[in-house]
Amino acid sequence: MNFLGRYTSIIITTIIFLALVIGVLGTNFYLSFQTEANAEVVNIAGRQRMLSQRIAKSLSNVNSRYQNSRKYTQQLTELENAAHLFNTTLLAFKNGGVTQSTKSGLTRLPPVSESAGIAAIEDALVLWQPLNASIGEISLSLQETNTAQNDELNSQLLSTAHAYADQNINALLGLMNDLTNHSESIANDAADRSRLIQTVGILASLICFTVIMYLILGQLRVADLARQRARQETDQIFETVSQGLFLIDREGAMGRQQSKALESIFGVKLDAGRNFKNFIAPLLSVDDLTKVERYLKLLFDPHKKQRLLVDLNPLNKLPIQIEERGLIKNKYLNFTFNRVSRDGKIIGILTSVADITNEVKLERELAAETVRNEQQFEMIKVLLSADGELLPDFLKSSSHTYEKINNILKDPARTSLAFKKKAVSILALVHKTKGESAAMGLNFISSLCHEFEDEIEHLQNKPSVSGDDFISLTVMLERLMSTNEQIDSLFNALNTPTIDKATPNSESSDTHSSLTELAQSIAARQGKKVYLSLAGLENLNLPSSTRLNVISMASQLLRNALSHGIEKPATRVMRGKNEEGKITLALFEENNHDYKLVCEDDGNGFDFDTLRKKAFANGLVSEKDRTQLKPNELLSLTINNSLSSKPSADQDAGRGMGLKVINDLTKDLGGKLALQTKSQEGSRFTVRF
Amino acid sequence: MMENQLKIFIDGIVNYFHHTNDSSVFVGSPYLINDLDEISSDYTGSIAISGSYEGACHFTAPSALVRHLILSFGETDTSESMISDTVGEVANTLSGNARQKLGKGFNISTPTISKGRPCDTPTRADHSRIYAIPISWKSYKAALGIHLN
Repeated sequence: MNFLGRYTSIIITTIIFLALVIGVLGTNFYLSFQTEANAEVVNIAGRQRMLSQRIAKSLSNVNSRYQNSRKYTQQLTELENAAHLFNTTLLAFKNGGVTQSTKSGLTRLPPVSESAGIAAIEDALVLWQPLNASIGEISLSLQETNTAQNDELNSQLLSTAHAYADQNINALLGLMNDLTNHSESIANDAADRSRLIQTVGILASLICFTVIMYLILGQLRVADLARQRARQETDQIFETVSQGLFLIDREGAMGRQQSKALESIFGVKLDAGRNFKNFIAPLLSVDDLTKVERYLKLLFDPHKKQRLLVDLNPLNKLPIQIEERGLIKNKYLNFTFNRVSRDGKIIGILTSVADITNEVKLERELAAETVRNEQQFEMIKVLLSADGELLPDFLKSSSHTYEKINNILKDPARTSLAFKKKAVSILALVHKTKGESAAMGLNFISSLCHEFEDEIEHLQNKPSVSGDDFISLTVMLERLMSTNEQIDSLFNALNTPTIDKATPNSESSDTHSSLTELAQSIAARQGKKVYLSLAGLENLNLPSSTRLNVISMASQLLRNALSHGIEKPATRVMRGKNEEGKITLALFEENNHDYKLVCEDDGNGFDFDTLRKKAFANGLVSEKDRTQLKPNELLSLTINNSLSSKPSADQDAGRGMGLKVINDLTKDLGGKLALQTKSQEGSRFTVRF
Repeated sequence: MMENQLKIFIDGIVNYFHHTNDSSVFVGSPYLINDLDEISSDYTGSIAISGSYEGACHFTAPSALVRHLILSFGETDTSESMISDTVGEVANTLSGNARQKLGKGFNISTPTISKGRPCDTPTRADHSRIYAIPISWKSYKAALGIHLN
C-alpha cells in the first residue's frame, strides 16, 4: 500500500501514456486503411474519366467499321465492357456497391455523400443514361441477323449514338473529372485529419512520457536524497560511535560497513568479507572458538529465542592483547550480537564490540580496594589497641628479619642439605617475629608466621628439597612484607594523639593485656587453665628496642611455660594441684641498668627424658651418652638443635624454636639464661641482662 | 594461586633446558627484588601478562649461556641476532606453556627482547616486588623475574 501510494502519479501517467500510444497506433492503423480506401476511390474515379474516353472512342470505331463494313466485333466488345464498367461504377458511386477494383478483384465503394460529388454523379447519370441505353440497343441490334432493314437501323442507331457521344462525352468527362477531384479532396482531407490525429497523439504521448520521466526522476531524486541522507547519518554514526559495529552474514563474513572505532579497538583495519571466525581465532583458545561457532549457529537458528541466547554469549569480557606503536596493550572487550531480519528471515548478525578495559580495571580495583579496606579495618582495630611506642620498633625489627630471610633465600644452594639448612635458619627468624607479633597482639602476623613455620616443617620432612620447593615461602614472605608496609602506612596515618601520647600506664596495660590475652588464647587452644601473674613489665625505663626484646622474650617464655609446663586440668588434679596453673612473669631492676626477667610456672618441669630420647632419635647423641647428659648439656643441645619435648608441633610450640629464640634474644641483650626445674613441680627461667 | 603461576613458569624453563644435551638445570630458591636490574644479565626476553593477573615474566641470561644453548641444539650460528632469537624463543616457550596451562583468564603477549637493562613493564607502576628465580645451567647463571598483581 505504501509502495502504491508513493508511486500513484507515476502509475497513472504511465497508464495514460500507454493508452495514448495504443490509441495513436490504433488510429494510425485505421487511417492507413482509410487512406488506402480513399486512394482506390480516387483511382476508380480517375478510371471513369478514362472509360468515358474509351466509350467514345470504341463507339466511334464500331460506327466507322460498321459504316465501312469492316469487322467490329472486338471494338463492340470493348464498348460493351467499358460501358458496363462505367455504368456499374457510376451506380456504385451513387448508391454504394461493388465494382471492379483498379488492382484486382472487386471493391466496395461507399455512396458519395457530399453534395458536390452527388451533383457530379447526378449530372453524369443524366448524360450517361441515354448513351448507355443507346449502346445497349446497338449491342442488341448488332447481334441480330444482318438484313437491309436491320442494317439501316443499326447505322441509324450508331450514327445517333455517335452524334450523342460527340456532343456529350466531354461534358461527361468533365463530370468524371469533378468526381475524381472531389474524391481526391476527400482523400486529402482524410489524410490531413490522420496526420493531425497522429501529431496530436504523438505530442500527447511525448508530453505524457515527459511527465512520467519528470515524476520518475523526481522520485529517484527524492529516494537518492533520502538514501544519501541515510548514508550520511550512518557514516556519521559509524564515524563517531565508540563501539565497534559490523555485520556478520550467514557465511560468517564480516560486512563492508564498519565503525571507525573498530580499528582503534583492534589496532588494525578489518577487511570487509573477512571471515569473523578466522579473525577472532588468534584471540581465543580452541574451546572458546568452538563455543563462538556454536553460538553464531544458534543466532542464525530462527527457532531459538534471541533473549534466551544472551547468557550464552562466549565473548563476554574477552581479554585480548594488541600491539600499539610497539607496545603490547591489554584490553577487555564485550561483544554483543543482535539478529538482523528481513521479511521474517535472519539475514545477518549486527555485532557490536565495546572496549570495557577501564570498567574491568575499575571493577577489579574496587574489589581489591574493598578487600584492602576490610583488611585495613581489621588492622586498625588491632593497631588501636597495640603499644603505640613499641610498634615502630616491631616494624623495624620484623622488616629487618624479613630482609634476613630474603637474603637467606638469595644465598646460592644446590644440594638438598643446603636447602634444608636454609629452611632451619629461616625458621628461627620467623619464630622470633611470631613471638614478637603475638606479644604485641598482632595476631594476623603471628598467624602468617605460623603458616610460614608449617611450610618450613613440611620442607624439613621432605626427603629431598630443591629451590622451587621454596616458592610458597617466598610468596608468604612477600605477604609478610606487604603486611608490614600496610601496618606502617596505617600507623603513620593513625599517628593520632591517642597513640602518640600514650602514657606509661597505658603502655604497661597494653603489654599486660596483650600477654594476658596471649596466655588465655594459648590455654584455650590447649585445653588448659592458667592464671598469669605479671609484675615489673610496666613503667620500663628501657630503650624501646630493648623493651621489644624483653616483651618478645616474655611472650616466648610464656608460650613455653604454657605449652610445655602447665599440665591439663585433669593431670593437675591427679597430681594434687589446683586445676588452674600459675605462671609468674616478672621483671626486676637489680642494680642500675641490670635487669632480671623471671618466668616461673607450677607445671610439669623440664621433660629431660623425652629430650634425651629425641636427642638420640635425631642422632645428636649416642645411646650411651644419652643417659649421661647433664641438664645444662641437655638444655644446650635443645637450644642448638631445635629439640622439642612435644610429640608434634602446633600453633604454639613443638618446633623446638622457643628456647632458641629466647637464647638468641638473651644474646642480643648481652645477658645470661638460667634454668631451674623440678619434675612435676615446675620450672623457672631467669634471664639476666 | 600465586604459587601455581610461579611454578608453571619455573616448570616451563626447566622443561626447556631438559631438551638440551645437558639437562642438568638447577633452580635456586626464589627471593624478592625491588628492581629488575638486580638480576638482569646480557639479554632479557620479556612477556607481558594480563587477564586474571597483570604483570610480566622476564628471562634474563648472559650471552655465553645463550651461545652455549645454541650450540647444544646443534646450531653453529651464534651471532647477536641468533642470541636474541634464542632468548625470544625461551620466552615464547614459557609463554606457550603458561597459556596452555592457565587458559583464557591468563593472557600472555608475544615476547620482547632487550639487550642490557630490560625495560620495565608499565604494569609494574606500583613498584611491587618481583620474584627472582635463579637458574643455573652448566656453569652459567640465569634468572626468571616474575611480578604479578
